[in-house]
Amino acid sequence: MSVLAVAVAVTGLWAAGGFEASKSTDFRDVAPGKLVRNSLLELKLHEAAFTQDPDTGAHTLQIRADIKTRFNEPVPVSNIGGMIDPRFGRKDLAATSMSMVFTRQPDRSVFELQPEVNEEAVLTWQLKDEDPDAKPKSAEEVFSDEDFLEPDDVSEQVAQVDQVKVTVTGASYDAGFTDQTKRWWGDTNTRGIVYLPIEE
Amino acid sequence: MITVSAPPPPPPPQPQPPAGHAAAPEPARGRRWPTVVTSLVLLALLMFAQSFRFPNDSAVTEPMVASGDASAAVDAGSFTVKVDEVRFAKAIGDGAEDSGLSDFAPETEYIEANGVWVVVFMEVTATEKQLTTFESRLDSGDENVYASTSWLYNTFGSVDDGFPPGIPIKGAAAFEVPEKALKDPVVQMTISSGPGQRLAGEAHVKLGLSGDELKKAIDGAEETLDVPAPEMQKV
Repeated sequence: MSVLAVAVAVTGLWAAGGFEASKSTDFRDVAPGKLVRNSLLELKLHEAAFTQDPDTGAHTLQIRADIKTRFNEPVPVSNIGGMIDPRFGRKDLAATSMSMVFTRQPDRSVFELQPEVNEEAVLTWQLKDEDPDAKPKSAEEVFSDEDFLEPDDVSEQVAQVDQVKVTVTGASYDAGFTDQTKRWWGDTNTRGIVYLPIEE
Repeated sequence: MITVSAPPPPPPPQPQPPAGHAAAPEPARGRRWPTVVTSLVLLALLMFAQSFRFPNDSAVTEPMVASGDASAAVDAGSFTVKVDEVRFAKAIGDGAEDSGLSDFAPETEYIEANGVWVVVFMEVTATEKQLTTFESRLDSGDENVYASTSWLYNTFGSVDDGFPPGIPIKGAAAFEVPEKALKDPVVQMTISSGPGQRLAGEAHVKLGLSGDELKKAIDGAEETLDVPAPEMQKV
């Protein structure tokens, strides 16, 4: 009798897909608008769009997000940039240097997030025509480039991209290289991957 | 030549140990114990003193904190600060200068708070040399520390400040804080010359607002508040 019960249970498990090989990355995928958290942030990424800076003509990626820090002191936005990594799956399009505004004050840049305050924010990255995994350019390379002040023209790449993969990493509060003052850093752990369709 | 040396003289007779020979070390040990105890006490004190050593280089040059309250000027060494007034508002903006031209000034743009604006009016005097960089935070008294806003031009710390030595300057810092986080706020400020806060003075001023008084102040927050530009005072 008990053998039959076990057999039925196992068959039930098999029928429900319980013996399928698991893919360890599946659980990291987070739907748009769902909560991703690391030891510093609570983040919900809602939607993404490509825009162009009206003054410079530079192409940018913008993501609307709900963001909150769980630290008890103000956290510079520059420390958070390293924890949110947008990729387009191509070697000729990279998003660099994140900046932030709150939707309630769209014309005023935000440099620090206050502790435990929920804000709706727009995160903006500059788009560059370079390999996202390439090493940073040396000063000579940057300055030998004749028009290094001109924004990269990435309109061709942008036209071909319809999705951005945003990886949210873990966070750690540590001293850096230059002195023993502690600040927040992104780490190499993945806390969530959000695929956002890019609206035209 | 043969010299016959005289036989060595017999060794002088050893002093006879006193009768109580077995008990001899007793008085010696008796004299030693204060030394032992003193050594142990000194050793313990030494280890205790070690704990006061600065843990690292940056701690050595960190700002030294002078604490006080709003009733009197707080002397932070390189500057003094006196908190004159604390006002609460739902929206703040840059106040225009009151001059003949103010009729032509653009209309003040008010920024609504996500929470409440705490605007701290104060008088700052550099004591020794020109100070340039004002940074302030508000410890709400509920574990969290909030940065002052950088959204206004008129607040201390938003554009290049100058604090010439000996000249009092009246101005304000504004903090956007959730109402429920405010318990017993303390404003913290450092004023340094140039980037970094090495060897800068730091003042913590308790605003002396808590309980019902604080609640009344928050409930009675002004609809809009014009923050005036910093102003030098006549000495």
